[in-house]
Amino acid sequence: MNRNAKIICKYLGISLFITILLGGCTKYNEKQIEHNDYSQDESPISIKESKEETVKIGVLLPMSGAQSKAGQEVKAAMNMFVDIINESTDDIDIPLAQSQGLPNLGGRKIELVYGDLKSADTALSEAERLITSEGAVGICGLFSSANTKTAAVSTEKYGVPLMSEGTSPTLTQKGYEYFFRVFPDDTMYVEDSFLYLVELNETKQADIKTVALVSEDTEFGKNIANVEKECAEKYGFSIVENITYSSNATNLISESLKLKKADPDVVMMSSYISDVILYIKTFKQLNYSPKMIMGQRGGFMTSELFTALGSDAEGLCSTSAWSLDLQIPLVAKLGNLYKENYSDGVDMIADVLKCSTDLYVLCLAINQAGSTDADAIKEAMLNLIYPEDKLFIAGTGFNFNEVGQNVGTSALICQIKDGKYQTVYPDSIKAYDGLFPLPSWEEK
Amino acid sequence: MVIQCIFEGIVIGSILALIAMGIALIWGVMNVLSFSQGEFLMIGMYITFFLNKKWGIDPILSIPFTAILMFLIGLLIYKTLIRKALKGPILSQRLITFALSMVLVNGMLMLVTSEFRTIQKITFSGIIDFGFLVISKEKLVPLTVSILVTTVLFFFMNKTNTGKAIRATSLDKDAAELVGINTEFSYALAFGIASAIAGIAGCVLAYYYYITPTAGTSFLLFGLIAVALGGFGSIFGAYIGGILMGLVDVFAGVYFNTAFKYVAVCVLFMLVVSLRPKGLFGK
Repeated sequence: MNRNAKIICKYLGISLFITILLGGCTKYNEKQIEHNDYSQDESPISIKESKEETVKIGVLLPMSGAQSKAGQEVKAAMNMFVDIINESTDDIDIPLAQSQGLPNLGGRKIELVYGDLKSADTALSEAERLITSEGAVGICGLFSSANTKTAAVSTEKYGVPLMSEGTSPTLTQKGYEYFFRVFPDDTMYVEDSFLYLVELNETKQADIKTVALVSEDTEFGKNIANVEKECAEKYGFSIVENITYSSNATNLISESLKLKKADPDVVMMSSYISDVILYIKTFKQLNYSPKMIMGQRGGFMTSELFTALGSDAEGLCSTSAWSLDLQIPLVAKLGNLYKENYSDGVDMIADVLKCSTDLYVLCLAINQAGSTDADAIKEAMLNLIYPEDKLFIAGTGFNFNEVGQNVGTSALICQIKDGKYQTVYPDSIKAYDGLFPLPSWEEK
Repeated sequence: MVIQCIFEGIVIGSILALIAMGIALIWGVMNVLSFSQGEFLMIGMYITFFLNKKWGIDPILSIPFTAILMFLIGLLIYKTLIRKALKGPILSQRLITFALSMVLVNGMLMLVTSEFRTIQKITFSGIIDFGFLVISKEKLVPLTVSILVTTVLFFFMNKTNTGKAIRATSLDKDAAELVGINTEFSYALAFGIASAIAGIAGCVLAYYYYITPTAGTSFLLFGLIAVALGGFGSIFGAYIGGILMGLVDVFAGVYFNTAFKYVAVCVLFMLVVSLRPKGLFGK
C-alpha cells in the first residue's frame, strides 16, 4: 500500500467513525423528539419547569421600526406588573401583589423573555422561538389581529396560551384552543360608538343622521368598516361616504376632499397614527370640521397623538377599553406608579394597560392552576376567580367564555380635553359631559 | 371642487418634483439610481425640526442652513461611498444607495426613535377661503419654494460654466475630460446639489407633514415614477412629472376611488412608457 492509499484509508476510517457517532446521536435525538412529542402527556415545558426557578412568559413587542416607541411603553408597563407580582407591593391592592412570586407554585417568580414583533411572519417565528428555545409557558404582547393569527399558528401547534388584544371578531371564530382576549372586540367597540350617537340624539338633541366611514385597507380597517356598516343600519344612521385608503400614504387630500363634499355629521375613522396626524392636519388646511370625529382606537390611542397634534387634537373622540380617569381607586394608583417609576413621566394609555393586563391575567391563571401545563392554565382561565372590588378595568371582571373572550369587559368612549382623554360614555362612569358639536378651526 | 383639486394636485406635485429633480440629476450625471433621496429628505426634516425646537427658527428660515449642511453631507457620502462604488461592478453602483437608505433609516430610528413629531411654531399658518377654493398658507410654501428651486437649478445648469461642465460630463464623461473638465468635481457637485434639494424638500414638507425616520421612504417611489414620467436626466421633465402625478393622484381619488388613486398613477406611467419609452421630456 503506497503512502497516498494509506492516507485515504486513514481519512475513510475517521469519516466512518464520525458517521457512526453522528448516527448514534441522531437516534438519540429522534428518541428525544419522540419523547418531546407535544401530543404526549409530558411536554418539554414540564420537563424544563422542574429545573427552572422562574416561570418564563414570552413577550412579543415591536422593538425596531415605526412601532418601537409603543413597544417600549408596553414593555415598561409589563415590567411594572412583573415587579408587582415578584416583589411584595403593599400599595397596590390586587391579587398576587402581597406575595412574592406565584404562591401556588412555591413562590416561583415571573421572567419575561422577549421577541421582536416586526411583521406577521416574525410573529410566527418569534413565538415559536420563545416557546421551543426559551421555554415560554404563555405568549403575550402588542399584537394586531393579523399578527395574532400567525402567532397562533405556533401557540396552537405547541399548546401554549396566547393572550392578545387583536380586536378582530374572527379571532374567536377560528376555533383556537389556547387563545384569550381580556378586552372587547371590534363588534363591542363599534356597537358602543353608535349607542353613544343614539344617546347624544336623545339627551342633547344632537340631530346626528349621517356618518362617513374612513378605514385603512388592511384587516384592521376592513373588519371595523364591516361592523360599522351593520351597526349604522341597525341604529338608523345613513352612510354618506365609505372611504378605504392605503396606510402611510404621502397625502390624504382626495380622501379629505371627498369627506368635505359629503359633509357627514360624524366621521368614523380606523387609522394608524401617521394617518390620523395627516388627516387632522389636512382637515384644518381645508377648513373642514365635522360635528364629531370618532376614532376606532389604533392611532387615536397613542401618546404621540397629543405631542404631534397639540391643540388640534382637542375634541377628538375614540373608543377605548380603559382610561386614566375611570372612577376606580386602583386606576389612579397604577397610573401613578407607571408614570413615576417606569415610563419617564409618560401617562399610561389604554393600549399599554391592555397588553400589560394580558400578562397579569396570564399570571393569575398560572397561579390559580398551580402549574405551567397549558391545559391546566386554560381550565384556570375559564374559571378565573377575581374579586370585583379589586378591578382596575371597566366591566365586571375576568369571565372568559369557551372561545376565549372575556365577557366581563365593556367598552368606553373617550374625548380629548386639555390634552388628555376623558371618558364620556357610558353615562354611569363618565368623567366629562363631552363636547358636541366640535367647534370650527377658527374657534378652537 | 375642480379648482381645489388642481391647487392640491400642484402642491403635492411640487414636493414630488423636488425629490424627482434630485434623482434626475444624479441619474443624468453619473447613472446612479439614488434610492437614498427619500432619506435625505427625512434628514432635512429633522434638521428643520431641531432648529425649530431649539431656537424657534421657522422652517423657511432654516432652508439656507439645511441646504448647505445637506450639500456637505452629500459631498461626504459621495467621497467616501459613491465614488468607490462607481469603480465596482454595475450591481454595486445600483445597490449602494439602497444600502445607504437602510442605514440612514435605522440609524435615525436608533438616534431619535420612531416617535412622530410635527412642527407647530410656524410663521405661515391659517387659510384664505374664497368659497370655491380654500388656500392653506402652509401649502403656499412648498409651491413657491419648488418653483424657485427649479428656476435656480435650471439657470445654474444652463447658464453657468459649472452647470455646463456637469451637463457635459453627463453627456460624455471621456470627451468632457479631454476638454479639461474635472469630471470628478462634476460628480461630487451633482451629488451634493441633489442632497441639498432633498434637504430643501424636507424643510418645506416639515411645514405640514409629520416627521419620523420612515417619513421619506414613501415619497421615494413616487419620486422615481415622476422621473420616469418626465424623462430620466431631464430636470424640467422631473418637475412636470411630479406635478402631473400630483394632479392624477388628487383627481383619481376624488372622482374615481381613493383606494385606486395609486393605480391611476401607475396606469399613467405605463401609458407614457408605452407611448414614449424615454418619458415625456427624455432624449
